[in-house]
Amino acid sequence: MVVLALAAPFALGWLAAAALLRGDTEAGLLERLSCAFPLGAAVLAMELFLLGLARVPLAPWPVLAIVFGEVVVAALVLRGLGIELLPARRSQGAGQTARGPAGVERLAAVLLGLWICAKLGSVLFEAGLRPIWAWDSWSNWSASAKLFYHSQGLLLDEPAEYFFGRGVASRIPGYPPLNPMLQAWMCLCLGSFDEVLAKLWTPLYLVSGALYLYAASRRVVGLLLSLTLVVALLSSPLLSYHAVEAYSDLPLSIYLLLSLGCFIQAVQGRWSAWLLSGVFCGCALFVKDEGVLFAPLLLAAAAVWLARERSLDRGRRAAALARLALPLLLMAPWYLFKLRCAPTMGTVSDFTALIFRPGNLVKASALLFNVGNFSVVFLFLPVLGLLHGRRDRAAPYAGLVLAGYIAAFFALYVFVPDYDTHFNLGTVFFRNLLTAYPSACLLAAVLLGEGRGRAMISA
Amino acid sequence: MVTINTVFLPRGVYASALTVLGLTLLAGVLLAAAERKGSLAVASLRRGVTAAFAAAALAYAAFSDTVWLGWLKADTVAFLGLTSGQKVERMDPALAAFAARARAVIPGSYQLYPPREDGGGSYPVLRTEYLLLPLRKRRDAEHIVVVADAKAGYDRFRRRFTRGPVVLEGVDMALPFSADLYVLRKRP
Repeated sequence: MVVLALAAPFALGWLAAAALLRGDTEAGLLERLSCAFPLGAAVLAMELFLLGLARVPLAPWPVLAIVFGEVVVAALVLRGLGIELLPARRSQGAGQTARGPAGVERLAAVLLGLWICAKLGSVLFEAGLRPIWAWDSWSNWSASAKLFYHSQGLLLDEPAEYFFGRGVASRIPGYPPLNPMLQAWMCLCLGSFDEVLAKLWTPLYLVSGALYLYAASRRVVGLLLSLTLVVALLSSPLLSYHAVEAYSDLPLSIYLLLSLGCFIQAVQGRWSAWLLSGVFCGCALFVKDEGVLFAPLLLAAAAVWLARERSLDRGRRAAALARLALPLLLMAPWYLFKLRCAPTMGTVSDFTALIFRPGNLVKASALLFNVGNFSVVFLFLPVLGLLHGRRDRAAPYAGLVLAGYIAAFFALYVFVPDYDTHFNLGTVFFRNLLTAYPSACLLAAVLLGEGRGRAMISA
Repeated sequence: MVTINTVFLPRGVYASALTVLGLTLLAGVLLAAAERKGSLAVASLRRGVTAAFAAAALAYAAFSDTVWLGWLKADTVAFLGLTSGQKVERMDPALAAFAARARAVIPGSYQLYPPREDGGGSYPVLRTEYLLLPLRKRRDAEHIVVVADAKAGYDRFRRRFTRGPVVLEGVDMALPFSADLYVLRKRP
């Protein structure tokens, strides 16, 4: 059942990716593989949330029948529409040869590949070994999942004091529900709330992220450097820890990676990537509130790039921006629900009484460039930006999105009193940075690629 | 029992990474410059920085993954062969055992002391709430769960529960787990 529970979102995502990428001959197998699980997981979580809103019991049989039936129907419909479920094999282009790496390079590539496989395998093994234990994992995400799973619904018919599970157990009900919904899904498939297996989907986000980073950077920086970047990504102890726990920071970080990666591809000229970037950005909004900081930055960067891009006519530019922005509306049900139930959804930081704390600026900067949690990626990124930043057309825009996203966290800790007193400028700030870390690895690849970003689009 | 709660690396790794980084940067720049037989051009610097980045990243990964391997070994020894329930118990034996016994005593909902606004956000209280799920916490319920509440007191001879201004008469002990953890039942 565990395999089925994980296969269902993968199948949903694979089909969704096939629909979104129809007609895109540049979308390779690796790219589809890496996008499938995150995409399907978001679709599944939103579906469970909508079923809950519709008062459909979140019990095994109705939910499993709906989800697995939907996979079959979607596959048939896509086939009926002539949409290829598997990417077409590409023939070698003119001037390209099938020659692989030779000698020492091949040996190094094999060793790096084995290193990556061993690390990912060990993370999967560890995730299957440990129960949910990290404080925020159980106190927020798993508590919500347990409530929804055991009550077979979203507790919408409770008195106001207990509406949506508020007051039934101490948790923050205003957090986006992707994580609890996925845990509830696992338990619906398993038939009980299993403290180990409920979170077994988290390492799949890590696998997807690693695969995407490799696929995206392979042709930009070559085999060895792309494998090195994946090793660097996976070497983060904090990332590994989050991949065996039930936090939401890792899923968010992978959605941001995918969204930014697709944005870079879109700027490099791939039309279907505008839509994918918007879809993944929308998924991020359904994972954690931090996604709200990313979305406007992405839209602003796209708007500026499109405004300056003379090769596209006005209609095409508007269409590109619409393809990026409209998928964000897919998450409207959650935000409308949250808006409607705002008084019962937990506390909100006070943004009216801002206080400037310059000390936190210094402290946060030291934490950003601290190599303890994020390899040497953040340390090198400014240097790479200075040396290589102008050689790729997408890099400055992607760099500004990422820098703006990180700067937003700086601003919260420096100006908002709540963030200084209630949140720890250490653990929580590291978690915030974690959400930007895979994107930082991707940006490093684009910068090191020195203008070969166009090649990133097919892997 | 906690193995990978702390992910900070020792200071030695900072020094090692920075040393590798500095040396590789220097070597990379010099090699690239020598190849070009020119001055330290920007192109040489670029290649040097790329080499330094890759070398430092790999050195960091070698150290970090060695630490990871240690965590993995410790957890394998601790958890392999246990059921999920046993693993939870192993992490937090007292609270897990209390919650398991309390779930058998409490039919559906419970009232918790200390309340949230009065110190109820501490680890033992929140963890007990979590472990008690699917039992539901209510403002007023037949059963009272008391978790590490210094202000609460129960007089078993008078069957009286007191906590500040709250005085409940005719309350029975439903589960006497320990001095700090117990369940009371109000008489209907």
